[in-house]
Amino acid sequence: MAANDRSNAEIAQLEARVSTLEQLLEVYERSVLEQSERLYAEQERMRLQTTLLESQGEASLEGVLSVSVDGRILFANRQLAQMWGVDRPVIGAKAYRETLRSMAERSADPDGFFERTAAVGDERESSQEIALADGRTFDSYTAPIRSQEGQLLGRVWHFREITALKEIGRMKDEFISAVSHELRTPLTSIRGSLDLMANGVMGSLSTESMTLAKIAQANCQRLVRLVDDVLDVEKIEAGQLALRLEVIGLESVVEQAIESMRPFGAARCVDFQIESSIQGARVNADSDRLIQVMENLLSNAAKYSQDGATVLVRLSRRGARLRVAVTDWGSGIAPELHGQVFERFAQIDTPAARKAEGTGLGLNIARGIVTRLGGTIDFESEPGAGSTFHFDLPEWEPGESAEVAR
Amino acid sequence: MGARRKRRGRALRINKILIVDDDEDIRAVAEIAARRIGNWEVVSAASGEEALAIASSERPDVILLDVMMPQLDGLATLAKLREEPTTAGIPVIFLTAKVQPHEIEAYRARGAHGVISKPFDVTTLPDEIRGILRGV
Repeated sequence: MAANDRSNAEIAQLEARVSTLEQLLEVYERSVLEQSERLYAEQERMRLQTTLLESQGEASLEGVLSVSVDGRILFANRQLAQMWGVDRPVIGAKAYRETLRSMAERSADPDGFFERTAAVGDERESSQEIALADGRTFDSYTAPIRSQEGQLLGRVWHFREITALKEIGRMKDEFISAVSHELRTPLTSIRGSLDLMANGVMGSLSTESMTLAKIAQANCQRLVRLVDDVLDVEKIEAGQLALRLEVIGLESVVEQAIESMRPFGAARCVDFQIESSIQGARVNADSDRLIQVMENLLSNAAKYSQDGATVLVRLSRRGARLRVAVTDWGSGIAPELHGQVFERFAQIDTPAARKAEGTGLGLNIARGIVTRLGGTIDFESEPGAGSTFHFDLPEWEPGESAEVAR
Repeated sequence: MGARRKRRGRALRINKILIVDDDEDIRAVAEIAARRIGNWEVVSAASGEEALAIASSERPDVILLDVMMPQLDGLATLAKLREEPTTAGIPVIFLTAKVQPHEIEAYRARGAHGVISKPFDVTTLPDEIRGILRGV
């Protein structure tokens, strides 16, 4: 009986165990099913994403090429093959070097292109313009491809054709230059005629005729200045501003500029004063261009000053550089406009009555000239308190073998 | 050297100027300035070819010569003036819109006495011409 009881109890226990196992199995089965469904969904999502990425890459107006660190083609779109005129690289093939080689052959400088481009392991991103042998120009951008953990996986390139863009830019410059040159001839005779009349060379005019002649003369001068400034800007942009460099005393050049601007200041009841602690210091520069820079700074300072104000020009030494600072106590420049001050046609906050005085190119030209002379230009300004524009130029140090004349 | 001194010596006194420019208006304005402000006798020419003939017949004391002209331009005209004995010694001042520093040097090297840039200031034109001839 006891034995029967035991076996009955064992059977019951076993049954319970089996049932538990069955339940577990069921849970397990369900979980496997769920997991494989999830996996399947994940796979679908990945495939969709890959398709999406590929069609996005395919639909790009830019030529796209990406390669793995071991030189396998990860992606290359049709646009890449088309714009470079090469066979479309097979995705997955270890064909990185031959792809680049065939692209290099189309470039105007095949060796240079290959050298600059071939380093997949390079960690930097960069962009450059590429000239092609057939005259087209591409803009290229390249960056490393990294895993989310930061491991370097490969490199991607984007190429965009900018031939037309460059052509338009060149045409614009040429057009401006041609127009400006063409304007000079008629302006010469207009200005000459007006000057002869307004200066009384042709005999006395009636008061009203004289007023008209003076108005025409002043506006003609403004036009001449504008044309000159436009041509200067164009020369600076093209890197063709010719300089006549000579070793000159900075103080005497600044004084010369101040003297030439005195009438301009006087007409606005503004006085120019100079303070110098750099007597005899010299710079290797073009004096005419330096005077042009000074005249631009001085005329701005005078324009933005109150009647009866003083504009102070300070010359000082800053290490190996000489600083010229022009300070006015005028209206100043609002902080939000500080970024535009040296840009072209950036006349800001000009009192309406004085708007017509400048061309809006002066500071842009000043920056161009100072930069060409190896210097820097900057300003500080506070609205309502005034502005200080200053430029620094390297002081000229006589060479060891050169004669020292102090 | 002797020829140069002679040229300079004669240049100090201007009685007659030859103005050469293919632009009629610029020529007219420069003529009036030379006559009224400079008190000079003025002859003018509209081309390089014409300038050669007038320079030879009129013997001006100085020639104001436009650089950019069709056919015979300023530089070619200058070269021909120097070839002809009757005009070889006449000082020539170029009138041009192209005034990059290296261009001025190039004009000097070709035998020009100086360069006046366009657009020029007519009221100071005679003084500028005198200054150049004085070697200022």
